[in-house]
Amino acid sequence: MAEPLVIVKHLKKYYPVKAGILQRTANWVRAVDGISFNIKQGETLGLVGESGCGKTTAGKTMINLVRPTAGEVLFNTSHNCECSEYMDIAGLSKRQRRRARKMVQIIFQNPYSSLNPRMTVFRMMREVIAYYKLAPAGRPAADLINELMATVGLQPTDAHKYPHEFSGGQRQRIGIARALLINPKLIVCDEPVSALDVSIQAQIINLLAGLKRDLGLTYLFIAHDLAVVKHISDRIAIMYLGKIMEIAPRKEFYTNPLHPYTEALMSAVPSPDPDRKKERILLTGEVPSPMNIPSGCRFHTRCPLAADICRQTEPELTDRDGDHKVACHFR
Amino acid sequence: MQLFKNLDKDTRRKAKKLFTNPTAILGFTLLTVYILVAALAPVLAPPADPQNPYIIPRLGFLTEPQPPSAETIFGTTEGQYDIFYAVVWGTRTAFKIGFLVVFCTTLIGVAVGSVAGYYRGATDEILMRITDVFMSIPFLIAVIVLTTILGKGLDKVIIALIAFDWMDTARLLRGNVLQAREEEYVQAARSLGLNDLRIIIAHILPNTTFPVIIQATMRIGTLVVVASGLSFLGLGAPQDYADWGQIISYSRNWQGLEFWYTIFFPALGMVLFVLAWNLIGDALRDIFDPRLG
Amino acid sequence: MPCGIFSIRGSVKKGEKHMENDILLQVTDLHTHFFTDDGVVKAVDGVNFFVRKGRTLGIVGESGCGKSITALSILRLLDHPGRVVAGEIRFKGEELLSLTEKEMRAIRGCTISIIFQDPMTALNPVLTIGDQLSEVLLVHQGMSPHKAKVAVIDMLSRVGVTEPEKRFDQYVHVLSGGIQQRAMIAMALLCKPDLLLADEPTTALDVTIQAQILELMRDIQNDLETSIVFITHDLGVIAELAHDIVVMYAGKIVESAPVRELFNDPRHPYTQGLLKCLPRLDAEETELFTIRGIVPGPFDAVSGCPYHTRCRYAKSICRERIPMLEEVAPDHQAACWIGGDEYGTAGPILSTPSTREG
Repeated sequence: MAEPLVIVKHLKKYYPVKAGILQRTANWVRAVDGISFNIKQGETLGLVGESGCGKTTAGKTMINLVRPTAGEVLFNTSHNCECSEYMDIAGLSKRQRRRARKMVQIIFQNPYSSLNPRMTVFRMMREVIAYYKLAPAGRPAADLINELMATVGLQPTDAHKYPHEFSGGQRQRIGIARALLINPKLIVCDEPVSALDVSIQAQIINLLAGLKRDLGLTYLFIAHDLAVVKHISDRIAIMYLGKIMEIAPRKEFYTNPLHPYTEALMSAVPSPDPDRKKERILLTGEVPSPMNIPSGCRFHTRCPLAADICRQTEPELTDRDGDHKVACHFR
Repeated sequence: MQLFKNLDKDTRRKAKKLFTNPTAILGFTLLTVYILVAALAPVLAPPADPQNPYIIPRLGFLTEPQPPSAETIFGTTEGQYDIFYAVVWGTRTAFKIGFLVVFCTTLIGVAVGSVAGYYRGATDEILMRITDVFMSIPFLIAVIVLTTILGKGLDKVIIALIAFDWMDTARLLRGNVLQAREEEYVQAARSLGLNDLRIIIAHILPNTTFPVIIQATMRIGTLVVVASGLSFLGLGAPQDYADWGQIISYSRNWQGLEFWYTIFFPALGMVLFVLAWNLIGDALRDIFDPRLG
Repeated sequence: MPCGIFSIRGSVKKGEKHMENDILLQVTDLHTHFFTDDGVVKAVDGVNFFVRKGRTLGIVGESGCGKSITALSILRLLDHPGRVVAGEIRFKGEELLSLTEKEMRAIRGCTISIIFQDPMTALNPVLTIGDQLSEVLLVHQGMSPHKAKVAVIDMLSRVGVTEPEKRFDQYVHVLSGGIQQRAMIAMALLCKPDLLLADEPTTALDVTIQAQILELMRDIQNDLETSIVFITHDLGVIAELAHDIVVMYAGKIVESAPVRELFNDPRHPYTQGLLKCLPRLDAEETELFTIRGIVPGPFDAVSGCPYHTRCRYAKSICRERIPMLEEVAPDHQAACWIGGDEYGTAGPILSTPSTREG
């Protein structure tokens, strides 16, 4: 049995809020408040949540764009994850980070701002190839670039164009190609289709799924759309206010959601079926601010099941059967 | 056209506006005249001594300025220095000073600003405080003091100007870099593991060129006037050097309408030069970056 | 009781038993063009629809299809270089396009209101919520500030804003997205408009908040009998809220039908494609159906049917002539040359999804 590719342990990211003349830290924004999970090689873990839940911050921590306040992000460095050799990429020195970059890459959400408008696609890719010496001896970088363009469904000749000459969906394909360049073990997909039209979304999701299959990639797929995540993930984790509320394999997750928040989220998704009579679970109130996280279970302020114990004690993420973990006192 | 293709449709369209905007046309026309004068200086005003073309020829040793005549189109000033010659070759001097100072200050400003903006934290604080100190010293006085210390000569003036004129560029760059570094494509470059210097040079700076160019054009005019001022005060160019301020300094003892030509021609040269650059800068700013205000 | 669309000749469809004065808004052959330096963009290219009293018309389409511009055209809120170049917009019998700017101002915010996608940009950051909302009443109904405050607080609590007295004095940025959107809805409803235009009002909201807002809009329609034109790209939302739907593509309406008809029996290949490529919670297969190609850009001239470059049934006639909207079923119209049995009625079982570039 192969070891997990990534083990995240008690990851935290707090942002200080400074106030007053002396700029002392008055409060903390607890964006990510202690999350732990594993990702196996070749699987896709969907990380879902509404805005402010910390999913994007968590994703950026894994690629070292954000330094965690606490916790570990352990990457398996052994071949094919056979052994338990791990490297913590969270607390690396600058030199070590270069090695870490080669293990994990990111696809950004906004295809309009994630490409340098002043560089052609070709130049952008060649720069990376040269920096990491990716082209095998004898093969020019151009070959590699052409191959990559074709892999993501673009014309190789288009590589000499500037980003503004491409459509949103095409730019996202370029973003995917860029992530594939260094041959990473893990790709963090940060809401890669949220900014795209529906008909293009489907193309990109299929592309990502196909690449995963053909190249044996591992994804952390961050999204706010439960339906999108269903089409590409093997396991799904739901975050709320910086903590994971539930995590389960796909089938189990969608047929048997246990956490009240998950249930509410699923019932809130409008379904394109006018005949579907839905008993909608309407949550009361607004999402609390991450500066003022409720005591006990952080969901208790909006939860239909809330009781005294929920206000006092924070439930742990514990196993139910079927690899299904929930953080709730009642489920 | 490679440079042109680089720009998106919007920018390209704006660039075309440069050719229809009246301010821009006027500015560019004036500038072209000056460029031609500077380029054709040896033809327009053949130097007496080809090795030292910047020495204004003296047609005699008369103290009193002579009005324009067939031989001397602009007349001569005290000591019978040929004003026409001075104005023509002074154009070259103006360009020299302008470009050299702007080039160097831009380099310094860009370096300081981008390092401060990219690394932030303590580096930013230190660099910006240094910038603040420089900015709080009155420009003219600082330059005068420095030239006095360094001694006479155009090169000393240039050094002094460079030393005290990089701050605006630094601040401008810092602001732009602060903004650019948050752009997603910069984060993408970081996530790809590229080192900082490369990110700054290849990714951030190319996106901040326009404001810098606009600011640079606005400064050239002012710099030339300051340099001329220093020459007028006797601190810059040496005595018979072809420089507009220099040649005006000779008119100090010859006030009065009858000696109008001793001031008029060199002053006109200066005024139109500054006007040309200001017009171009204005047009560029209006078209490309109205926010600079 | 459907809202719907009628052919360009202007005749009301047969079988309509309802009174003409039940129609609140009637848009006929609307053309809105943008005259840019790079050419003319035909943002809205011949659009017809009407809205009945107390009903919701959904306008669905992807980005660039012209749906938002249609809403702005109705209220004549277009900025240079955009302009309505042809068409009629009759609201309660009056032709809006021939009114003066002053007369239009009296209508905006009063009898026809609009709410936008991003409340942060639609609400003024330097004024308190109370000031902004009161202004509507001050201007349109000449109320005194005191009376206006009472009315505003009442409306705020009606739209579900908690502690409305406190919110009255707060600034926009301290409020959450959901409350901002509710405030914007309150502002739009203060004068009890007959028609509410909603331009993607829930797109920027979290899904749980979106559910609350949709519920709110349903309640408003029931209480105040307000007609709503709901513009969105989200088919799920439209299925929930709209009574009738028009689907737009490249500035034209390609299909229009009552909501159930449209979802159960889509007749235009674009609608079918859109429905099929939607990721769904209740779907079993994991691979998504896709529509190949991309939406034509604003300056791309497409001959014939604007969708033919992406359509799997395209024939030569599609390339040559623009199809008109024709009735394909009662109250149901589609603009397509390939009709009837060629591709079946309940949405064809199409072969393996294609993933060409887009």
